Order: sequence, then structure tokens, then C-alpha cells
Amino acid sequence: MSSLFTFILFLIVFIPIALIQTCMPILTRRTESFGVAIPAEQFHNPTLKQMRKTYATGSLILAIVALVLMLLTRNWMPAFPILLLAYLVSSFFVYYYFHRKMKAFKAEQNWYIEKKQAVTVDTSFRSQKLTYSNGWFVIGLCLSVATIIFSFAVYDKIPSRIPMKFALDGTVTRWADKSVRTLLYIPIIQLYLLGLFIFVNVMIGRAKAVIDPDAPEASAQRNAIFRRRWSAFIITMGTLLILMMGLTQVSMLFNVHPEVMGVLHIIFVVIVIMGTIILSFTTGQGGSRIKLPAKTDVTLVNRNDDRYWKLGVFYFNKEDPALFVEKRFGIGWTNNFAHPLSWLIIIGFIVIIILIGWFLGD
Amino acid sequence: MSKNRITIAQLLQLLYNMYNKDNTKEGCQMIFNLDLESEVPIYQQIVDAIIYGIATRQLKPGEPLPSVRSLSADIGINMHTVNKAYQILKNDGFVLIHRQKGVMVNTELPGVEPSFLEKLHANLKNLTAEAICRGLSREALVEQVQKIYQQMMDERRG
Repeated sequence: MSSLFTFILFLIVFIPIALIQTCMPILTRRTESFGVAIPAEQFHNPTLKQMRKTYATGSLILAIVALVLMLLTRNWMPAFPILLLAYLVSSFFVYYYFHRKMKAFKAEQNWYIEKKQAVTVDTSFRSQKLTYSNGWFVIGLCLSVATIIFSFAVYDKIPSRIPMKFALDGTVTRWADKSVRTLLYIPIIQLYLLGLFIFVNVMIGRAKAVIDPDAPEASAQRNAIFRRRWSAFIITMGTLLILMMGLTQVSMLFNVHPEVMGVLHIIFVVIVIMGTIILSFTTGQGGSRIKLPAKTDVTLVNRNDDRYWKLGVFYFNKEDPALFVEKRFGIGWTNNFAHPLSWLIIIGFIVIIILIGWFLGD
Repeated sequence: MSKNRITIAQLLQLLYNMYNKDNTKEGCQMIFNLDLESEVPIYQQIVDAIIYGIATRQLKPGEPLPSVRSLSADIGINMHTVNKAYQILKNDGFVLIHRQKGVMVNTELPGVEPSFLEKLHANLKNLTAEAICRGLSREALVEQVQKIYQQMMDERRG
């Protein structure tokens, strides 16, 4: 039972990841191909189309191999994270092969000779609302405060031993003695995640506004919609996650049957993953898949800034004061790794979670 | 019970207001392009673009402009460059820089000051000299100026 559960969860998580990974070249902006900047109209270049097809085939074969390996292993639990990681690493190498190929192909073309490279600015871009209010996180805050109040209100009725760690199907793998510390573990992580979600929501609003010069109005509008949709998604899913954790705490205290929680967790994972897929395919990176009428200016082209993108995925630009930029080959945002504050933020979030584990876990 | 109902109604109203506030877009759109490879310095390109925006009324008096930080991050250039552009615009009287409210288009645009006439004269002199060297007629030169002036006035109305 337990291993079948793991296998189902593997399928639920793995298939969508493989799907997004395989379709990535059509989810990115039209001004990028395998992490290389291209003029938007070259997106339909037959060579690039062929490369996208070959990439998708390679990525798909990789996914099938991972699935077959998963079926062949008897011990599904350690195989799950290992295979997932192995798939992600090897699919990066598939990407990188095409990134190199794309770079070589671009070097042979004369795409930038007849057109002027431009950086486009929309002065009113930031006077519109790009994210939903952080006030929405008050709901999540109330939920975690409620979790704390509830846990301590019924403190005397709680069994003296409470489960601390669960397998994916909800069976308990580690128990702990009841104490203020063990009861605070989940609520503190709820608050940490709340902080993380607020940070992401602020980041979505502040990230660099990249506007395609060949169709600026439509591009700016797409980008604003893209941000608003992801902001709404983060707020909804974040609140739902905090609710789930609250329910987990309550169920732990009252020995609710583990399979009930297991099913709830699966439903939650399915909602998050389905949401991610729908959002990715309807919106695309930077809003590139949103259909809008556009006035186009064929004399201008987006800037060829490949030199700032290491391996096509890591943005490294010392001149740029921006902290967050849109990913090139992916959906969402990444850091400007040349900015010291980028590293401080990443290390800060890691240090806090380690400290929480240190003081509250055992 | 009735007390509770009011609270829920108020809460819904609050959420509704929050949602609506999130969807409003203020100000009108002014889009300009910069050429980072150009011989014209970037701060000068920004100054020119904003004055053009004000001339064509794409930027209205009192309208907010992006902060130094966000504009330089969006363009991907040093903050000093944007700051320099804004300082020039401020000294010429085109923008106001408030400590709290940020940067905005000046509500009272500068008039024809002697310093402007001097600048106009110098720039026209250089261009006219080159035009004469290249054999452009007086009429063709004047026609160019009239055309550009007319275009900007048309953009204002449209």
C-alpha cells in the first residue's frame, strides 16, 4: 500500500514536470531560443523549429527512461527523489546541448545587421498594479495564529507522544514527546513560509520590466498580466499550503487516520501542479502566450545581451542594479547573481530555515 | 448574530475593495527606446525622450515618472546615469523631484529663457552649417523644421 502510494505520487509529480520541461521552448518568450537572444520573428525560423522538435523528442525519451527505471525498482521511496533529481540534471544537459547549438547557429546569421537594437521603457509601467496586495496574506497569518491558539488551548488533551515525521503516504516515521517546542514546530514553519510568499509577491512587483521593442504596447500589457496572474497564484496556493499545514498539526494532535491526511496532501499537490501547468500554458514566460493585438515595428530588435547570461540561465551583470529578472529558459524569475544583495537574500532564507530546524526540530 | 453578519459583510467589502484597487491602472502610457550602443550618451537619450514626451503631451504636467532605482533597473544601467538625466531635467525645469512623492513632470513648464535661446541658436547653427556644406537649400531646411513641429503638434491632438 505504502509503496503504491509513493508510485502514484511520483507519477503525479513527475509527469507534469516532464511535460513542462519538454514543452519549455514554446513556453519561453519569442525573443529567446534555448537561452539565446533572438529577434522575435526568427522564432518561426525552420531551423529553430526543427531544434525545438528534436529537443522535445530527446526530453521525452529521457522522461520515458526515468519512468521505466521507476517501474523496475522495487524500492520506490529512495528511487523517487533520486530519479527526479537525475531527470532534472540530465534534462539540463539536453538543454545545454541545444543552447550551444543555438549559439553556433546564431553566430552564422546576420540578424543584427539591418535592425537597431533597443531597450524599451514604459514610463507608466510601475504606476499600474503589478501584484495583488500583501494584505491577502492576513488570511494565512490568521490561519497560523489559529493553529498556535488551538494547539495550546487543547494542550492537556493532547497525547503525550505526537508524530513528528511522516512518509509521503502519511504513516508516521518518527515520534516526539509533547512539549511547547514540538507544538510550535509547524506554526513557525507556517510563518517562515508566509514570509517567503510575501517576499516572492514583492519580488514579482519589483522584477525588471523587459519590453519587446518590436511590439512595445502589447508586450508591456502581457508582462503586467503575467505578473498579476502569478501574484494571485502565489497568494492562493500559499494560503492553501498554510491551511494544509494547520490541518496536519490538528490531525497529529488527535491521531486522525494517516490515510486521510495522505489523501488530502495528494489533493493539494494535484491542485498546485494543475494550477502551475494551466498558468504556464495559458500565460507563458513574461506573458508570451497571451494573445493581444499588436502594432509591430520591424526596424527595432531586442538587445543582444547573451554575454550577461552564463550557460544561458545565470544572469550576471555588474552594471545592472536590478536584483530580479525573468528567467530565459524557464518560467518565473531568477537573480542577478552579480548583485551582492542577491546572495545575501538567498543565504538569509537558507540560514533561517536551518536555524528553525536546529532550535525546534530534534 | 446580527453583529456577526455585519462583520462578515464588512470583511467581504474590504476584500472587494482590495481586489478592485489592485486592478486600476493610473496614468497614460509613454513608451520610448534607448540605444545602449549609440554614440549619444544614455542620460542624454533619456532627457531627449522625456522632453519629447512632454512636448507631445504623452507625459502630462504632474504625471509621475519612474524612480531612479526602478528606471535604472529596467534599463539595466548604473543609477548615476538615470540620476544625471533627472538632475538635468530638474535644473531645466521639466521635472520636480520630491523626497516623498518621487519624480514627476513639472506642473509649470519652463518658458523661453535666454539660456534656452542660446542653446537653440548653437544647435541650429551647427546643423545649418552642415546643411549648407551638403548643399541643402534654405527652403528644404525650413520645411524640415516645420514638418517636425507639425508632427509633434498632431501627436498632441491625436
